[in-house]
Amino acid sequence: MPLPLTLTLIGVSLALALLIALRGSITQSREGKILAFVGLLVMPVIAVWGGFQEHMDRATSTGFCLSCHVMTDYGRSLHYDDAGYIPAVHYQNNFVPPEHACYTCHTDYAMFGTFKAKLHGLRHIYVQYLGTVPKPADIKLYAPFPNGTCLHCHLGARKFEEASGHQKQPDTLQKVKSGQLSCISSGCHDTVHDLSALKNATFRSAIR
Amino acid sequence: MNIKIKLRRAGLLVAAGLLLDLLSLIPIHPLAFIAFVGLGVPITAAGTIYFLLSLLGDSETSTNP
Repeated sequence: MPLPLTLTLIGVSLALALLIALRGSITQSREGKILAFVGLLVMPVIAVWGGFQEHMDRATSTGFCLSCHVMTDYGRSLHYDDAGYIPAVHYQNNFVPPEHACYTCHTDYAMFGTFKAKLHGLRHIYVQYLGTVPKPADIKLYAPFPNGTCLHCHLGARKFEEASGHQKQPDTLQKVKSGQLSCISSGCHDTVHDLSALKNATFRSAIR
Repeated sequence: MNIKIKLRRAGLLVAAGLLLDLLSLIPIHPLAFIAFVGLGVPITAAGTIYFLLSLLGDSETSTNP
């Protein structure tokens, strides 16, 4: 649902609810009862659903993830001027949607991937406001980065299938596809969000 | 209690919840999401449920002799 429509729905619902609250006598007529039914049940349900969808969509945005101070360096790493730096290459070449860069790579594409990402997000909020916030460099993934996330986009692409590194051994590609050989932690593509490299780094574009 | 008073209360609850929902859509921030899910939605839902319960109570009193 587009944001202007959601805001309009919430605004109209709010006005109806206020009308019923402040002018209770209008609910005595038959039309008033119908108005109360629409204003206190139908419209609020639709408006809240629209708001929920908007919030869920915003929660996948890069700006949302980087709104916590501890994530600042991870945001900077997207602008690192190095063709071998995986997050920067993906972000700067639009291999991932720039407005949803974090979410695209840090959710798994299984049935409950989005749900699990949201649970992790709630935990992050708890740690940010009620727990002990770790240093940026101490932040680790909950589980090893799954090949499936990379393969979600790369699988079947000619550049990926024919890359010399993926043809080192006859079974290299098969091992990658089956998850036996990790894309990230097997030593092949391990330069991911290396915050120590950012100290003396140059950045390609203005940091958002 | 008079149904009119119950409907006014339900209206106030729904309005308060929707106002919070509306305000939570201004900033793009995790706390705005928490405000929406943790405050706005429950208050709106409470108003809607209170409205339905007041209708139920009213229909029971009007059908009893």
